[in-house]
Order: sequence, then structure tokens, then C-alpha cells
Amino acid sequence: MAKTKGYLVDTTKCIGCRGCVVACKQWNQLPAEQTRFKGTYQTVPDLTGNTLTIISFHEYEEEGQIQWYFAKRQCMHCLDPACLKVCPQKAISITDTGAVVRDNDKCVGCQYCAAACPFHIPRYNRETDKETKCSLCTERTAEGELPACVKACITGALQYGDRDELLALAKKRVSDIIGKYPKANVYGETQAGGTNILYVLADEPSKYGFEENPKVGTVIHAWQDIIKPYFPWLIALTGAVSVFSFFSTRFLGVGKEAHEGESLDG
Amino acid sequence: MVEEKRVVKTTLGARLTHWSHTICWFTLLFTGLVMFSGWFEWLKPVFGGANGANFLHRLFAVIFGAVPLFGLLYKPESFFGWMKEAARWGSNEIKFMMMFPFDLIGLKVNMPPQDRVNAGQKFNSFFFPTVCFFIGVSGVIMWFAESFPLWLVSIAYPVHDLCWILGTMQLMFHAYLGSLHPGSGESFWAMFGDGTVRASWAKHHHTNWYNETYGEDE
Repeated sequence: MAKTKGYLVDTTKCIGCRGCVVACKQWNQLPAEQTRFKGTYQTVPDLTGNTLTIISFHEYEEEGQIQWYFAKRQCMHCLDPACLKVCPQKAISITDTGAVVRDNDKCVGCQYCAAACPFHIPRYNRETDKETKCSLCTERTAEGELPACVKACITGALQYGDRDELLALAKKRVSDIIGKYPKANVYGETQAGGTNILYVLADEPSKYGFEENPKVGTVIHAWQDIIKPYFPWLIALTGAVSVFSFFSTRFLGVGKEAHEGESLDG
Repeated sequence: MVEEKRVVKTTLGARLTHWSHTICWFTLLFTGLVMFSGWFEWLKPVFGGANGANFLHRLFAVIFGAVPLFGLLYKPESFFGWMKEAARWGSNEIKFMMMFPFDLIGLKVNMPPQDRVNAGQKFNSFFFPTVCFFIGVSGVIMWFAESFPLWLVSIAYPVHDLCWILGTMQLMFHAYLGSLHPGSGESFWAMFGDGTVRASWAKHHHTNWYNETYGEDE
């Protein structure tokens, strides 16, 4: 496989400052969200059509102490993206660095990518009638700049680079912290066929609100591989049968007499 | 020439519902195709771009759902009467369905006497409303995706597609059999006109209904 680039999220280094969230908003020129306090420090409750990344806060009481787990959420930039496969307009593509990007002009806002995504990332923007998601700052990285979120990270929790190198780094980090965090693991190496965004998690993925083993649903496959390519031909088939019948009935000449009925007025 | 006696086959309400449904179906079909596949890119300008198509799709979806719902609430006996009519199946209906393929290709067959709606129309009377029901439900789920669990949303897409494909497939038959198939002209013009057909035609095509309604003495 070609070398792809992504970034590593080391959750053990994340302090939940959300500088990355603000940087993302700023670079992409997205408006702020109006939210209400709901008893959590997490600012925006979920990704929206105007919020491409958030830090989700997960609080647990462990050994009499409150433990915070911070998870950065955004497009995972899958190596084999389901959104790309289902998009009826081929509006989603992979750049030569492996970023999964959308073509805003091609997007018709059908939102099928949102339903297909194993990580439930793409969000619908009502105002633009388009789906949105993180582009891994392709326009920045193409110019040799870091993605906005990575550049803003003050603790070094975010690191941009080649996926192979980041993966090695992540594994080394896990072996370093395994003494303190016995359940530490790398997330994104194999999940959903591998992702360009990798995580070092200190505990089970579920504690961060991640699915242990995210999968593309079987109905999605059924739609993509069976219904979409073959079923529309049924329409053509019935159309063809109708045309055939139009000519055959006239050719065989059963004609009007057999169909119109005898006059009752005789 | 003496004007032949005519009998009412379809009511005004039925005709209006039928044609509003037809207009909606085709508008929804073509605006939907813009979303369904890149093949229909050329259709985008017709509806004012993809956003225009999406808007029209939703607008006509509301009419598509509202008209039958209004009919159902305003005159429930009409809908249930139709369903009861369509649910009457006997050996005549089964025979009709078995012989129909021969009739379709133009062979001479003697069809058993039929009710006001023949067996094929009876099948259609269940098939189409069922398809429309699922299209409507899955459409609402996709429209308000945020309010529904993700697994349901992901099922809604294939269901929506499967149903419009099956519906349009049936529509091809329905449109042909109701217009250019030999002997269909009478009911075709009835649907565009005042809903009446020639009595002799009614007796020939819908013998049971004609005899029940207008008596055998004619």
C-alpha cells in the first residue's frame, strides 16, 4: 500500500483544552455552536454540520477518584472508506496522502455517507444542504503545513506524519505506559480496515465512546452490491415486456373485437 | 349512431387521487434519481441544481403523503371499500392471473368474469399502497435522520430504493396495461374524463361487477 499520512492522538497527553476544536473552526471558518450547560465540561455535545471535530469528555469514578477520558472525534480517514463506496455522486475521494475528502460541488446532500460510516462521522448541514466532515486539512498539508488541529495542540497529543511511523510510535508508547495503564491499546490500526487517524488509548475503546469493532452494516453492502447495480434493470425489463406486448398483441391480431365487448344495444 | 349507455366506474375522488399520485410519483422519481446516481447528473439543471431537486423531492413527498392521508380521514369508507373489493379472491381471480401472461403477449384467451377491479388490478391495489407506505416511512426516517437510531436510518435507504424500484417497475406495466394494451382505451379515457365507460365494455371486462350493479336484464 502506498504511504499514507495521518495523525496520532495520544489521549494520555490530552488535557481537554479544545484548542484543536477552536483551530478547526477558525481555519474552516465555521460559526460557533449555541449550547446549553448539561452537567458536563464537554462544550459541544456532538459533531454537527458546522463542527468537524470535538473533544468528547467521559467521566468515570475509579478507586474513589474521578477519571476523565478525553477523545478527539472527527473523520477517521479510513484506508477503505465506506462513505466513498456508497456515495451515489462519487463526491468522495482519497488524496495521494490518503486523506478522505469530499467534493462540495458534487455532494447532493443525500446523507447516505452518514448512514454508512462505521464511526458515524459525516453530518448534514441544513443551510448548505450538504454533508460535512473533516478533510484532514488537505489544503494545508499540500503546502507543507500541519493540519490546523495538530498545529494548535500544546501538549503534543496530536502528531502528524506517515501512518507507518505513527503506528510504530503508538505501539512504542503503549509499551511504555502499559505498566501504568494495563489496558492501553492502539485504536485505528485494524478498526474498520484501518484508519489514518490513530489513537493511543489508556483503556478499553468503549470508555472513550468508541466502538470496539466498528463495522459497515450488512444492509449497506446489500444496497451497494445488489440493489443499486441490479434492481433498476427490473424497470427496464417491465418496460421492454410492455413494448413487446404492444407489438405482439397487434401482430397476433386479437384486436378490438375480443376486447371491446359486443354492443348491448345490438 | 345511437349513443351507447355509459356506467360510472371511477369516482371523482378516485380520479383526483390517482392523478395527483401520478404527478407526485414522477416528480419524486426524477428528483430522486438526481440523488440516486451520478448517471442522472444531466437532470440537475431541470430542477435548479441538486439543492432544488432535494427541495422539490421533499415538497412533493409531503403532497404524496398528504393526499391519501386526507382521503383516508375524510372518507375512510372509500379506502376500506376499495381494500375490501381488492381482498375478494376466488378461483376466477387465480385463473385470471394464470392466463394473464398469454393475454399479455396477445394470444386469445377466455378470461373468467371479473369484478370492478380485475385480479391484476386487485394485486396492484395491495402492491402499490404497500410500496408507498414503506417509501413514506423510510422517507420520513431519512428526512429526520437525527431523530432515529442509526441502524434504522441505514435500513431506510435500501428500503426506500427497493420500494421505488419495485413501484416504478409495476408502474411500467400499469401505464401500458391501462392505456395502449388492446381494450384498455375505454378505462383510460374514463380516468381522464368523467369516470364513465361504455356499458358493453364494462360487461365484457368486469362482468361480475356489471351484473351485480346494473342487473342482468340489460
